[in-house]
Amino acid sequence: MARPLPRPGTAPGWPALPAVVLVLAVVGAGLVTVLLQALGLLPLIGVPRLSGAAFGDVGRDLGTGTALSLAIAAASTAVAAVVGLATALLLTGRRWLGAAAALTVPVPHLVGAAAMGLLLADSGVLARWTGMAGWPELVGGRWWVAVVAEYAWKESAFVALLVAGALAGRLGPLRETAALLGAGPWRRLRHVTLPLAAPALLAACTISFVYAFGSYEVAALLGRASPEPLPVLAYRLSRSIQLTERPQAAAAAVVLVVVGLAVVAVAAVALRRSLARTT
Amino acid sequence: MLDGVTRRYAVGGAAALDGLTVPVPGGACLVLLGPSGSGKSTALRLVAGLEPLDAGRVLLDGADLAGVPPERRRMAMLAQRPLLFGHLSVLDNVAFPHTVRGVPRRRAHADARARLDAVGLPGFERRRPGELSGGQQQRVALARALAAGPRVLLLDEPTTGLDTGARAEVHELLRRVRADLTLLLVTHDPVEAATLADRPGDRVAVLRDGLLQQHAPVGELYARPASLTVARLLGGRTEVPGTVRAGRHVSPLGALQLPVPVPAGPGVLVVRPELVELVPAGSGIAGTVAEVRVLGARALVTVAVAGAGGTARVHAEAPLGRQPAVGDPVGLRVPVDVRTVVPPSEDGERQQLP
Repeated sequence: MARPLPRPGTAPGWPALPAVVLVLAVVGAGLVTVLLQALGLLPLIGVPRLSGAAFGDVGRDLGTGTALSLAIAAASTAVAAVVGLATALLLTGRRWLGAAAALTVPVPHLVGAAAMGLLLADSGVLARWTGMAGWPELVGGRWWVAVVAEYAWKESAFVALLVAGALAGRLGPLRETAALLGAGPWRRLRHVTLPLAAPALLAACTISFVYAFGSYEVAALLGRASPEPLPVLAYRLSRSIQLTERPQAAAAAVVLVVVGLAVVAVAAVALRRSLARTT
Repeated sequence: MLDGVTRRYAVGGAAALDGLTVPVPGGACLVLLGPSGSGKSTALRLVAGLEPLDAGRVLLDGADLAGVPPERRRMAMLAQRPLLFGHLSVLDNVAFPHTVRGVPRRRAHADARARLDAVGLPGFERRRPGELSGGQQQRVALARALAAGPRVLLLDEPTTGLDTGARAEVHELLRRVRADLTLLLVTHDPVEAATLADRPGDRVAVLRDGLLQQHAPVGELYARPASLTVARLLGGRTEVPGTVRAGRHVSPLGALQLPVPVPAGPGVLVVRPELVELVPAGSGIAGTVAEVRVLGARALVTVAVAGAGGTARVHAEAPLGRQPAVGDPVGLRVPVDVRTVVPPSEDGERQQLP
C-alpha cells in the first residue's frame, strides 16, 4: 500500500542531518574558537582567563568599523535592490536578457574589485576617457564609492535573478488583471508588482547585505586605510605580528558575526510576514 | 463590434484569428465557442487590449479602441483562474478597482462589502484568498470585476476549474448580476454557452482554427448547425453520409424528406441524439442496438441501420433504466424538423445550407 505524502512542513528532517552536522562542525567549531579567543579563554600565549579586555582594547575601532560596514552594506544593498528590481522587471519574458544579467554572477568579487579599481581610479579608464580635470576620489576616497559600486554591481545581478525567478509566471496574469481593473502602469507597480516581488527582494537583499557587511577583499582593495570596516579590521589584527592582538581580531570577528546574525534574524521575521501576506 | 480582427503570432505563419467580424450589441451576450486552439481566447485578449491587433478593429459604442490601453477600456475580465491578489484581503481585492482610482478607503470598502454581499460572501472580508474554496474565489473575482464598473464583462472559461455545484453557482450569479452589462464569453462548453446566452439578442460565434464557422442564437446552432465542426462541437453524434436529391436525403436510412430546401449533391445528415425517438421494432426505421453507454441519468443508444449502400449508425437517448439491450431490434423515428444536412467537409460553412 502506498504511503501518503507528508503534509508540507511536516516532512521528517533526518535526511538533512549530514548537511547539518557538517555545517555545525565547521561553522560551530570556528565560532566557538573565535568566541573563546575573544574572551581570553584560548590565548596563544599565557594563561587562559575570562576577560572582556579584547573588546575594550579596540572598542573605539569596533564602533567605527561596525558603523562604517553597516553604512557600506546598506548603501550597496539599496542600490542593488533598485537596480536588481528594475532589471528583474525587464527580465520577465526575455530569456536572452536574463542570460546576459546572469553573466555577472560567476565573476569573483576580487576580479570585480580589480575591474572597478581600473575603471574608477583617478588614473583609471573613465578618468582617461573623459579627460576630466579633478577626477573625484572614487577609489580610496572618503565616501567609499568604488566599494559600494562594486558590491552594488555584483549583487544587483543576484537580486535580479532571484526576484525574476520568483515573479516568473505569476506577475504577467496579475498585472493584466490589474490593468483591466483600471490600474495604470504606476498603480500596477505599486499595488501588484512590488508586493509580489517583496519576499524575494527581501531575501536577496538580506543575503547581499550580510555578504557586503562581512566580506573583506573589496573594502581592502578599493577602500581607504582608515577608518577600517569591521572585516578589514578583523583581518589586519588577525595577521598582526603581535600575538597579543589575536584576541582583538577575534573580538572584531565576534561583533561581525553577532551583528550579521541579528540582521538575518530581523530579516527572517520580516520575510515570514511578507510570505504570509503573499501566499 | 469586432471588425476583421486578425492576430498572427509568427510573421507569415497561420493566423490565430483570421478576420473575425461579429457584432456585439450593447447589453447582449456574445459567446465565442470553440475547441482549444480555435482562437477564442486570443479574440478576448485582443478585445481587452492585452495583445495588439495585426489587422481589423475593435469598436465600442462606435469608437475604435486602437491605442486605448486596457485600463481605460472599462472592461473587466473573469478568467479561468480567479487571479486574486494574494497579498490583499478579500475586501481589499474587491476594493482594488476603487483603490487604484483614488476612491477614499472608507467608500471603497463600503462598496466592496456590498459587492461581497451580492455574491453571497458576507463575513469573508478579512480572509485571505488562499483560505477560500475555488468557487468562493471565483465569486470574489466576479465581485471585484463588477466593482470596476465595466461596460463589457469578459469571461474567459470562468467555470472550467470548478466542480459542478460551484459552476452552477457562478452561472446563476452571472445571470443575476448581468442586468444591462455586455458579456463576451469564451468557452468550449456548449452547455455553458446555452446557459449564459439565453436572452433574445444573445448570439454564439463558433470558431475553428481562427475562422468563424457560424454566428447564430444558440438554439439555431443546435437545430441547424452549418458544418460538421459545429455539429460535433455542440455534441452532435449522428453523421450519416448520403446524397440530396429532390429535397430528400438518400442514405442507408432511406430517402428522408428534409424540412428546408437543400441543393442537390453529397451531404451529411446530422441529428442530435436527444431528438431521435426510439420506438418498438416494426415501426419507424428498423435497426439493431449496437452499443449502449450510460451518461448520467440518460443512456446513449447506438443503433445500426442496414440499408441500401451500407450501414448507418444513429445515436439516440433513452432514460436510464428504460434503454434497450445490445442486439435488440428497435425502430427509430427522426422527426422531419430535426433533420439537418451539412456539407461533407468539416469546415464546409462556405456551402452554408439554408
